[in-house]
Amino acid sequence: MPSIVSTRFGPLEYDEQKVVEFSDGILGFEQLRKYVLLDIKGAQFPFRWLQSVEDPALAFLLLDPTYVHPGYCPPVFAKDLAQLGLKEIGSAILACIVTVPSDPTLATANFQAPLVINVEKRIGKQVVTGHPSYKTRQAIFDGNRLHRKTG
Amino acid sequence: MLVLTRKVEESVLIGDEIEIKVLQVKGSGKQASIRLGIVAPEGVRVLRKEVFAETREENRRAALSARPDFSRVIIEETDKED
Repeated sequence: MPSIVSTRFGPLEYDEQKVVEFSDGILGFEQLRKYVLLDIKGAQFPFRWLQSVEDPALAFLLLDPTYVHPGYCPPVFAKDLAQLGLKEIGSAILACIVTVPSDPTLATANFQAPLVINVEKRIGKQVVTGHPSYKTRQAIFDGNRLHRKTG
Repeated sequence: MLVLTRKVEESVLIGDEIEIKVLQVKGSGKQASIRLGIVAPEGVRVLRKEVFAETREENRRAALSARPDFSRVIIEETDKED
């Protein structure tokens, strides 16, 4: 199995079949296309990492937006869905990139431009939605509490 | 770049389905701002160009995130209907 030595996570072996290809890259990192999703061991949090397999130093913390925002439904256009080989947004994984400052309770997530991932085909895209009420820098904690809405 | 001059209430048509209308002009010189009304089909994305720059900048900030210590963080389950 191929492996990398990730700056954050140390040596990582990964399955080539599980690499997710972002053919447009991620905005600001357009030259890097291949990533793997990493679950956080033992975490009850709705977080995981997206580790570049081309740049060991590059990883993004991802938040499942529906965990804190169950009604989250960004507009994704037919063209984007077609590029991702999707018929409808419901069959994709949505993930928002999290920015963590030195005080992690001040973390924000980008609800304006989620990653949309077709898990079966292993392809993803960062979709800038243009939706006026979803922010690029939206706080995810209220004090030290991450609200999980259920029901 | 095609350059056109339009007055308030005048429009530009792009193709058969996109209309951009000047609704209001405020201020002058570099402080001027123009309010536009846009009619476009549902499948056409309309957004402020800066949104791309904002996300690019936010991604660069996000890439600097260390592995956060969320040990002080509490997850609360609420039964709020969304």
